[in-house]
This record gives sequence, C-alpha cells and structure tokens, in this order.
Amino acid sequence: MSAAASSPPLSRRAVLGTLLGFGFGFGLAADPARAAASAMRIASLGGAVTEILWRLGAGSRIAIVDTTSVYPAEVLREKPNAGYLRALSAEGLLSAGPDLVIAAEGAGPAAVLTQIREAGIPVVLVHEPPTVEGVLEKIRAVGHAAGLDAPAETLHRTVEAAFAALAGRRARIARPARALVVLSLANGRVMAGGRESTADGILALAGLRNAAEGLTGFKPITDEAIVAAAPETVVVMSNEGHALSPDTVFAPGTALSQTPAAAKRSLVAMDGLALLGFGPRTPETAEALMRAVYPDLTGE
Amino acid sequence: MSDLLRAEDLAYAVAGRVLVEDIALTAEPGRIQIVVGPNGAGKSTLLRLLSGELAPTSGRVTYAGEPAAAIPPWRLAAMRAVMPQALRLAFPFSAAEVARIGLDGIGRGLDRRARDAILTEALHRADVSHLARRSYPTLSGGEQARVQFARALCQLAAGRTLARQQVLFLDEPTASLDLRHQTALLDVAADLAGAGTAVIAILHDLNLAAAYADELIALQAGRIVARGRPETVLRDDLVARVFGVPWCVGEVPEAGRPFLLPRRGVAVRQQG
Amino acid sequence: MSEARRRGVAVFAGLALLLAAILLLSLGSGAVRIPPGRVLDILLQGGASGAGDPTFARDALVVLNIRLPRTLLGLMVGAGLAVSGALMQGLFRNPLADPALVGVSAGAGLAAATVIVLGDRLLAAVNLPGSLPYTALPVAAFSGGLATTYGLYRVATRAGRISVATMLLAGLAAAALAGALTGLLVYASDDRQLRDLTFWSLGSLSGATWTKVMTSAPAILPVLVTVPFLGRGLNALVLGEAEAFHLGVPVERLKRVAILLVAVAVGAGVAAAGVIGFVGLVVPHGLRLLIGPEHRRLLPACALLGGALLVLADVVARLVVAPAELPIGIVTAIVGAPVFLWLLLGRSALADV
Repeated sequence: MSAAASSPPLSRRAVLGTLLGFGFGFGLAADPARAAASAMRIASLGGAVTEILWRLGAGSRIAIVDTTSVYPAEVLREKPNAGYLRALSAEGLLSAGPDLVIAAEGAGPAAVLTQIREAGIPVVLVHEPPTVEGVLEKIRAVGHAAGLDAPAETLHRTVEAAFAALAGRRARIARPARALVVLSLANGRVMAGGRESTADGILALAGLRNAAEGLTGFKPITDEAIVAAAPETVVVMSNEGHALSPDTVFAPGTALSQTPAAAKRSLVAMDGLALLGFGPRTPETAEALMRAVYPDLTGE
Repeated sequence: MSDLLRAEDLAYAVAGRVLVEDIALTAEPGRIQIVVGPNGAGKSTLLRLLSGELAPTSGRVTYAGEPAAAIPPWRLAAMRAVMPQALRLAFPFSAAEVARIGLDGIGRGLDRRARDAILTEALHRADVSHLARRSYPTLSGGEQARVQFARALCQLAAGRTLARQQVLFLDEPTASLDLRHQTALLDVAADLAGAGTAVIAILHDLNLAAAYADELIALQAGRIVARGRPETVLRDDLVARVFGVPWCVGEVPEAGRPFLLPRRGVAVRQQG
Repeated sequence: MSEARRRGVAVFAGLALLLAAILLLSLGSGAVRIPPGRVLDILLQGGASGAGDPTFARDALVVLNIRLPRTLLGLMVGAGLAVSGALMQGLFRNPLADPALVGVSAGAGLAAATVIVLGDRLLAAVNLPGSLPYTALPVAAFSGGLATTYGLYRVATRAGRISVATMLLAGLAAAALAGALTGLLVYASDDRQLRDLTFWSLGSLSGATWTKVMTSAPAILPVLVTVPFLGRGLNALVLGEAEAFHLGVPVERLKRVAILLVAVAVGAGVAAAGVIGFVGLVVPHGLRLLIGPEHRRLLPACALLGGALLVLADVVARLVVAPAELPIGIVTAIVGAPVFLWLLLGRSALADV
C-alpha cells in the first residue's frame, strides 16, 4: 500500500521525539478514507499528485497546489499556490479551506502537517519511487484518497497497458544506446543525472543506458568523465518550449563536443516535469524519448 | 594599621624576559610618588603590578595588609583608581557617560543626587564640564585624557564611601595635554594628596616630576636605580646614566635662548 | 542629563507601543481572513464563545495554534538575536561584531546540514527504519552550535583568561571550516536535500508550534532576563579589559557569562527558525544612533526592537506571496541591508569606527 495514512510513521516519530525530549503531540489524525468521500476541496501538493487528480477528473476539486504542480498549466494557472512542497505554510494551506490534503512524500515541514491535522483536516502522503510500479501505485493511492477508486482503476489499467506496450518496444532494441541526461549547463559546467536519479529511471524505461553510471543523483560531472562516458545522445530539459540548442550543447572545445553524440548531433529536448515527474504521462514521455533516439523502431 | 599599599620583592617576567625585579615600595596617604625612566624601563608594568591588574611572578602586593590577588575586584576598585594612557572607544559614548562609568559600580549604594553631584564635581575638576555632552570619539586626545581623569576622580569619590584610604595611579597623564592642563591636572592630584590620597604617577617630563613629586623613583631596566626627594635624585650623573643625555641639572641655556619651567598651583582656569 | 533620561523614557515608551502594535498586527493578519473583532474575541476568551460555529473553531485554531506560537517564537528569536548582537559588540568592542562570531551559526549550520543530508543514511546505518524525527534537526543544530562555541572558547582561553581577539580569529576559521564541510554535504546531497538546505539557511518561522515555543523559551529567556545586570559591566568593558578590572568588574566571569548566554540563545534561535541574518547587527546599530551606546538602555531596547522587527518581518514574509510564504531571512536581509547602509551613510560620526 503506498498511501501512508499518517498514523504509523508519525507515531514512530512521536516515540523518537519523546526520547529526544521533544514530546510533540500526535493522535488527531482523522480517518482519511472516511473524509475522502466528501472531500470537495483538495490541497494537491506534488506535480504527479496534481496531474493524477486532473486525469481522474477532479481538477475542479483542487483548491490549492504547490510550485511543483505545473501540469496541465492552463488548469493550474488560476489555482492559489502554497509555495514549495517542503516549505509550506500552515495558515496558507488553511486559507484555501481544504477538507483533504494529498501530498507527495516529503511535503513539509512536518510541524506544518501536524498543524493541518490538528485543524481536523486529513493529510495523505503518497510515496514516489521512480519506477513503473511506483507510478501505478501512486495512481491508486491518489484515487483512493480522493474517493475516486473506480476512475483510478481505469487510469491504472490505461497506464499499465501503455507501460506494457512500451516494454514490448523496448524488447526490440538490440543494443541500448548510451545517453546522458543534462539537467543544466551553467558556465560550461554540466549537471548530469546519475544512478538512483529520476533521470536514470526514465532512461531505463526508454531503453537507454545511463552514460553517467559513475554518478549518484544529480551531480556536476567533470569534462574527462563526460568524454569517458561517451554518450551517443544527450537529453536536455525544455521549459515552456525553451531548450538548449545543439550549437550551445556541442559548442566547439567543450567536453560534450568530443562525444559520439556530438558527431551525430543527437540532442533530445523534453519537458522537465514530464521527463522526471513520474506521473501518468511517463509511458508517453519514455516512448517519445525512445522514438527520438531509435527512429527505426517506429516502422511498425 | 598596615600600610595602604605595600610591594615587596616584586618581580615580573614574561616568556623568560624579566620586565621588573627587586621592587620594594610603600604608598603613604598624602604622598605623591612619581616614577621616571626611559622607554622600556618597566614603568607601566610596575603600575599594572601595583594596581593588581598583573599578578607578580614573585613577591607580593598588599592593600592594607591583604594580598591584592585575594581582594575581589569590586573591593579593590574602591581602594584605588587608575587613569590609563590614551584610550580610544569604538562606541559614541558621551564624555559624561564615560566619566560616569567610573562611579556606576562602586557608587551603587549612593542615591541619584549624590551620584550626579560626584559626576558634576569630577567633570569640573578635570575641566571637561563644557564637553559633557560631546561624543567621546570626536574629542581631541588631550580632551579624551581629561575625560579619563574625570572618570578616575568619579571612581575615587564613589569609592570613598567604602574605603577610607585610596591610591590614585596615573599612567603618563600629561602626555597629550597642553601646558595649562598639565599643571591643572597635577594640581588636582596634589589637592587629592593633600586630602589624604596616595598618588603614584608615571611622568616623562622631569621638570613636572620634580615640581610635584614628594618622592621621585627612577627606574632603569626594571630596577629602581634611585629614589628620594627630587633634589637628591635628579643629578647630572643619574640623568646621563639613566636617560642617556649629558644634560646638566639647573643649567641655563646659552645666552638669549628661552626656557620655560612649570610652576605648581597657578594654572589659570578658563572655559572654552 | 535629565534630558537624556527623558529621551530614554520616550524611546522606551515608543518601542513598547511599536511592539504592541506589531504583535496585534501579527495576530490579526495572515492568509486566512479573520475579522479583528473575532481575533480579539478568540484571544480574550480562548475561543470558547464561538462553540458550534465551525468557522469560528477554525479561526480559533489559526489564531491560537498557528499565529500565537509563531508570533511568540518570532518575538523571542528576534529579541534574543538583537540582544546577543549587542552583547557581542560590547564584548568584542567592535560595532561590527555579530552573534555568528562565537561560532554558533557555523556549528549549527553544519549540524543541520549533516542531519538534512546524512540523517536518513545514518539512521539506516544503525538499522533503524524510516526517517529521523523532525526534532532531530533543531536538536542537532542547537548542540552543534554550542559545541562549536565551546571549542572556540577552549582555543581562546589561556591561563584562565579568554582572549576575545583569538576567539574572533578562531571563529572566522571555524566558520570557514564549517562552510567547507557544509559544501561537502551539499555535494553529497540530492535535489530535494539541497533545497531543504537552502530553505533552512534562509530561515523561517513556519512550523512554529507551542512545543517549539516551550522548548526555545528556557534557552532564550535567560539572556533576556540577565541583560539588565550585564549593562554596567559591558559599559566598563568597552573601555578595555584592564580598565574594566580597575573599575571592579569581574572581567573573565562577565565574558564567560556573555558567551554562554549568547551561544545558548542564538543556538536555540537558529534551531527553531534557521539562520536569520542582520537582526543582530542592524538593531543594536540603529538603536545606538537613537539612544546612544549606554548598555543599560541599549540592551533592553534591543530586546524590544529586535522582537518587534522580526515579528514584523514574519508578517511580511507570510503576506507578500500568500498563501505561500517567503523565507524570513530574505525579508530581514532585503530590508536590513539597505537600512544598514543608510545608517552608515547618514551618520558621519560612524566614519571613524
């Protein structure tokens, strides 16, 4: 079960907290499932959570979002914004008058979530592992929390089927190409996605091999390591249609210009949230990435 | 009754270097003792030892028979006051506030009117009444020195409510003062001595020292090389030996060249 | 002199009024709109009268459990920082000293970064599941701050005497070292931890609970209560350590007490609200221009104005981008830095500082 109704982890925290001499009081957690059925105003915190709610047809019930909730933009532009997921304000959230909070795991500060619960508003935290199973379970968890189990089942089946189709195509890739996900390119310094990052997850789904396998998480990578990684394609983030051009990425004299990707001028620009967000759009995104790198696979 | 202040076999060394040694000294009520000597002779170190600020390497300093180190700071503060060499402040205290710091601690038992009276009197005697509200950092060096003198006077006046006998230490008090204020300050010190305070001062000006000292103490390389009435200490051979100048005591310069000697108790008071 | 006294009384009355007004403003404003009458009603009757009205219950909760502890915490942290700043400036005889000089902030920052970045990994290493309780961060920050100050204090103490100059230099070295180690942790952090670090280092009163108020109070109140007794000694200390001793001040004890009080108060402030800059510098500075450097007036005035300004900054922080909120350190620096410059330019008397 990926929907963590707050009580079990929090009571453990309460025990540890008491040991440390800080007896924070918990125990006002209402039953989220019961509140959910009538939840008409949802505080939706986390890009994937918001996207799922929208796909489940609950977009109009979203009362307030966070800064990571940016898709679909036209729906969310009008919603009040509670700020960054991990630096929320209790009163700010309460001012939207929510009767349910669904938040990606890691929302906080924890004391703010406690204050929300003290106000009698259930808080449901959703786990976010960057895997196929993670996405599928997240859909069910969000749907259950919002009392939309049936639509969630439908979406679950759709997304599951898309992942299955993706897996089928992926199986036809004879030799996975080496790809480098470049998060940013500031002043010539490359920030790349290594192992255990969301970038690594999406590359795996797209049938690509992470060229930055020596890194863990998003880290700056040295020029030598870029040359050694020898990516055959470079993936960059686009933001509202703006992305780095091949001329910038493969500028003469840079380490990236000395990679096989530069020789083929193989550069893929993809929307940041779609690429790294691990929501319902993930299969499509992975497929788009796969098509961009393996154009031959399309002749189906 | 033991002596007001007594130092025996006093020595102080730091990092193996002896700064003063073999000092014996007794301060008596009503007496002005002036320490003279070249730079590095150990004059300031001696003053710091006597005031209890430094603990001697050997020997001892006693106030009324009690070792200075054993007397709590607040009680010591009632028995002696120190006017330091030039002192700059990082904060814009007014002159009156700086002087008042002298009686804040020891004068706690006094009512506000008594404290105000002490402050007014001290500012007047140091001739800084007209500077009272000026910011201390904006005063000239000489004006600052007089404010510090007023502070020491405040401390003595407040301390008189706790201690019957007191010592006033002056570390080169006249260094940045004009002639009028040099004699005015030393006149006030002499008045205090007249009223029973023991005064121990460091002076560079031998003429001033000779004019005011009951006992002159000549210090060289950390040792007392001569002491006594000014006329017995200030001799040609001592001046040559201690200060390294072949000047003769009492000699008038070549014809026509003017010279000027200080006189006690005649400073004209003028405001402004 | 009586004029100065009258001026002092007027300034204190003004500061008290300002503080009262800001406290009411803080309790009366926020993302949730509550009429002022209802706020007063809730405060005076503890929210008992409105039973039955669901919006009243929610408003009572917002006022009593969110705004009130937050306001009190801001008041304490601001007062503690400003008083600590003034204490440090007196102790170091330098108007540019700030509480960070005794190493509290550096140590607290490093400890906090360690918890944020390595916390869960450390927990896993000792075979405990899940993640650290959120009390781990303030506890670590507080202990890290105190430990660093104690280390600096030991380095700067020779033969029972503390050299404030050595402490200042060692403090700079400690800050550089802590900064470098924090940099290492930044390197090891993932995206989310990095953002946590950034937000923590900008400070916030968000998440202020009664528990936080109650645990911070025993650390911050001592410095506020002791302050009236330190003014005289600090005045004397401004003349110099030798002069203070001549005046009967137990200099070493005063330095020890001041450093301890500052370390505990700033440590608790940093633990409760993260790093909040400029309050410890600007408040004493401004007040010195207004009422002079006399510490018996300055220190209590710092408590009043420091508390008032931090609460005001928090009101701004939570209103400008409501329902989200700005880190409070941004507000204090955006307002504090220009005010500081203006103070410097406006007073030529400070040119020789």
